[in-house]
Amino acid sequence: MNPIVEVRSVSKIFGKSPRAAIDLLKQGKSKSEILKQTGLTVGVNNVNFEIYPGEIFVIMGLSGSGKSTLIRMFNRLIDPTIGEILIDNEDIVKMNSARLREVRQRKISMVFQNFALFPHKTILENAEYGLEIKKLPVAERRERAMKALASVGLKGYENQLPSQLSGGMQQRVGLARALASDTDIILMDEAFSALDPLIRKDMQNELIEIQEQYKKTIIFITHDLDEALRIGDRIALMRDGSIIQLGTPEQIMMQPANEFVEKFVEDVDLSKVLTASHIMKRPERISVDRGPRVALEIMRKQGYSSIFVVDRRQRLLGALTADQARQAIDQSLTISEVMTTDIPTVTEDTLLANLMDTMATSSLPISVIDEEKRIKGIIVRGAVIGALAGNKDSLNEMGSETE
Amino acid sequence: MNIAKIPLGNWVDSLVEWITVAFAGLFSFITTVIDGILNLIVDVLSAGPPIVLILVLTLLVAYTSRWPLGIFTLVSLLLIENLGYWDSTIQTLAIVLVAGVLTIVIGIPLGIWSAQYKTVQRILTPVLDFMQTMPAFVYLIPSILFFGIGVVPGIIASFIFAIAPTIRMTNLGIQEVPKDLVEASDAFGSTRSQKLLKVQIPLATPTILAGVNQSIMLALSMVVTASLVGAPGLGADVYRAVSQINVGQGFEAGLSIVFIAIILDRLSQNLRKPAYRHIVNGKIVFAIVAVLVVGTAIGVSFAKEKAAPDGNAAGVGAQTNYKIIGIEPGAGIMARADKAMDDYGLDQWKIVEGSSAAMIAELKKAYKNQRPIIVTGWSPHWMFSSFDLKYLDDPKGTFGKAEAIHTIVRKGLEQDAPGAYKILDQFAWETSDIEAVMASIEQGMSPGEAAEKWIAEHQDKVTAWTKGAQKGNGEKVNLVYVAWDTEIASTNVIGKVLEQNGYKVTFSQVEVGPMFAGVANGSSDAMVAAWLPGTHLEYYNTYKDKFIDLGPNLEGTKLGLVVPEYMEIESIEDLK
Repeated sequence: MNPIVEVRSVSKIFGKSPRAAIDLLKQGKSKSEILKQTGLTVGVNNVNFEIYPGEIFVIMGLSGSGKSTLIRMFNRLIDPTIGEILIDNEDIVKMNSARLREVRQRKISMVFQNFALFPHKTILENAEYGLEIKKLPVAERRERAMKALASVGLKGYENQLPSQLSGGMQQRVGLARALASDTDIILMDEAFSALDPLIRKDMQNELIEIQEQYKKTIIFITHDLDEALRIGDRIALMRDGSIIQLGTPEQIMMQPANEFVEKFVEDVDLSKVLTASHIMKRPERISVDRGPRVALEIMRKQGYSSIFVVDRRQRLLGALTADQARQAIDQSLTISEVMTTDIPTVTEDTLLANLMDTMATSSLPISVIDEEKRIKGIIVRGAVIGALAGNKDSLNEMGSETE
Repeated sequence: MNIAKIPLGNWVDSLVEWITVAFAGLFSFITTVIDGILNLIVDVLSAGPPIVLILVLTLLVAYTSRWPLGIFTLVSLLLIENLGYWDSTIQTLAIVLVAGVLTIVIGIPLGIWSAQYKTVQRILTPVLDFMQTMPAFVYLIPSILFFGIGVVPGIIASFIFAIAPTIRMTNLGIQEVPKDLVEASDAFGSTRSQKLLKVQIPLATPTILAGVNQSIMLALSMVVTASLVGAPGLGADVYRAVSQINVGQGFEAGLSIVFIAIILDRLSQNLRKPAYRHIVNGKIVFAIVAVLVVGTAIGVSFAKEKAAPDGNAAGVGAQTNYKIIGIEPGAGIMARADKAMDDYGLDQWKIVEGSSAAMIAELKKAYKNQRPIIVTGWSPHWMFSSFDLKYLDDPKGTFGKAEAIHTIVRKGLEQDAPGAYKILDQFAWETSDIEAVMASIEQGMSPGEAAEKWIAEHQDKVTAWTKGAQKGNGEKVNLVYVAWDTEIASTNVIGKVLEQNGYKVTFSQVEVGPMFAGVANGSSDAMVAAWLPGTHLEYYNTYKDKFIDLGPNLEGTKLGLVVPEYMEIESIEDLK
């Protein structure tokens, strides 16, 4: 798959006449050394990466790490000092202002931390702003803006002013404004940081849903690791203008590139990072057309008190306990007549945090299934507890990889 | 340290002179345009009976700023009408409206421009500082040269004085638009103008309007100043009251200005959010007002079309717009000129009030271009030695016979400073003497220098004045005078003579009325500038028991209407 955005050796130096600092950067001098020698601030230091269509790419870092500067270079609200930023294989840095405006109108829109809604325009007028700039006919832009507002759940608010809405609603308008302009890429600069934690969670979930529906490429900035882990397909962690690690949430959690990342992630709630696929064991299966005696024999051999029943295509049908197997043998019934069909199942990417309830209420191990209902593994209590305690042995090596 | 004086004044003079010539066409175009707009506004405002406009204004003010202010408007306007200042008020309103419109049309774009480009702001800021702190009177001087006497220089000066807040506040308002909103509109690919029209200006509007409101108030505060160069209206009423020490009239006219100020302030402040907009939509109201205004304007211009101008198109009247350029409204010569209009039945003619300096500027301009002009003139005056001029014959004798200039001192001066009293008493000279001093001043000498030069050349005369006068030892003598060239010359000469005789002389330049009042109430010691028995007769009669008249110091002055030699007109009779 071709990347939609390529960032090549991009640096940004703030201050007048940045030439001197560029040479120092090339010599590998640090940010503080350059500040001492030239009085110039390095905002972003030689960053390289690609972003692929349809992914949520999160750029994370503490304040002052250069992430907000970086995101503003994607649509050139800030001009890079050196480097190239290719969007659909076209370097945005070399564009003249007319072409740049076209790209901003058609390819890349933005959602802001403090919503940046126009206070003198209604919600509808805000949502259609990007289309108004493109000079679309009124009827058409109204319709598209209304659709975008409906998809963020703001139907019926179109004639209100931003000041009449809560923070969460305002940010939904900001999102609708970006969605309505129908660009492939949406930049989100700490979009949920100004919201309270509960609304934030809702918005994160909604964003993931919306992304499913619209299939956008989202470049998301946050200083909050939980948020990054929740929504990011891949995460770039920034420090002092450089990217110090880039990878999936698991890679960042499990193989921190250096001490800084380790510190950064150490107080993260593991239950929000690890998924079912990290701790599941190989399941013991039996095909439904076998008899109960076979099932009991397997259980005895393996020392289990239950076994999962699947069909020929490995789709999970239910669970059979040793007691049920005996009952079937006594009353000469088939497995399917005695097995428990109502069993707890989860998908591979379910977070541990969301397993707890199920775990507590079920005596059976939880089975992990894919979207075809094929059984992938089972989760037993001990493994969950071990994993949450940070015990690496509890983790399998089957960790889900995001391609 | 002995560096020669930098001739800054001369440089400015030649610059202004060059501009006057180089842009003459542009200036006359501007004058025509502004005059046209102004006359149209005046015609529209005075189209119906006053009560119509009063009611319209009342309703507008009530709509924008609640009913109590509406009632206030009604009462105050009716009072103005009752006191007889309605026509002046309309003139003033029109002037302020034109200055306000000019300010908006020029100020807001400049403010926007400076908000967009740092360089423009860097250039504009010091210019604005200069414009705001330079005394407004200074603008009047080149304005007269550029735009002639009348209402236009007044409007231009008001506009220059008033434009700064609009520019500053527009600039401020646009720069204060939150950065993230500007970023947002950039991020969606707005052009510069889309960003300006859809985001920056709408958000800056309250600040911009606050600036416009300030500018309108400043323009209104300039109406009195503008009347010095002939702008009509309430300002001229106040100015006339000042120069005639007429407290009552001054208060009435001043109060009218206050009423107008309050009305205009509330109107312009609440225009954006009218108080009763929930009852009637603002757009409807302003549409009605606009229709009314435009309708009246069309009606008025039709009516004008029908009233064809009568009289001789090629005559003197047509060439000079039936205007006689006068001087300060309080001057006796103005009263005489008014009387002459009656005596000779010149109803069409108008005496333009202004100042002597303005009159001279007009004369200079017309003379240079050989254009016809009629001014109120008097001798002795240096203009007779600088230009070829002639008095128009005055067969009816309205302007009176030859006059004399008297020396008048306060009561008690003889006891306080007997030497000075004696010198003032013996001070007397000829028309040729005073014109010599005036000519030196006109050639660029300071009045003090010119006086010293004359004294040095005429020691015999000075000796005669100081004969038998005891020397003073530092007693203060305050001489008061009006800013006429004759009086500047004579007051400086006598002042120098007093100084050479051991007195400490201070000068106060005031208007005619205050000059007489000052000597009468003892706040100044003496003047050598009383034109009697004609020009200053009213003042003389008012105060004659309160000071001492030491008799004439110069005989043989003359008043009348003066024209350049090249005009083929001999008598006031010919003006008909």
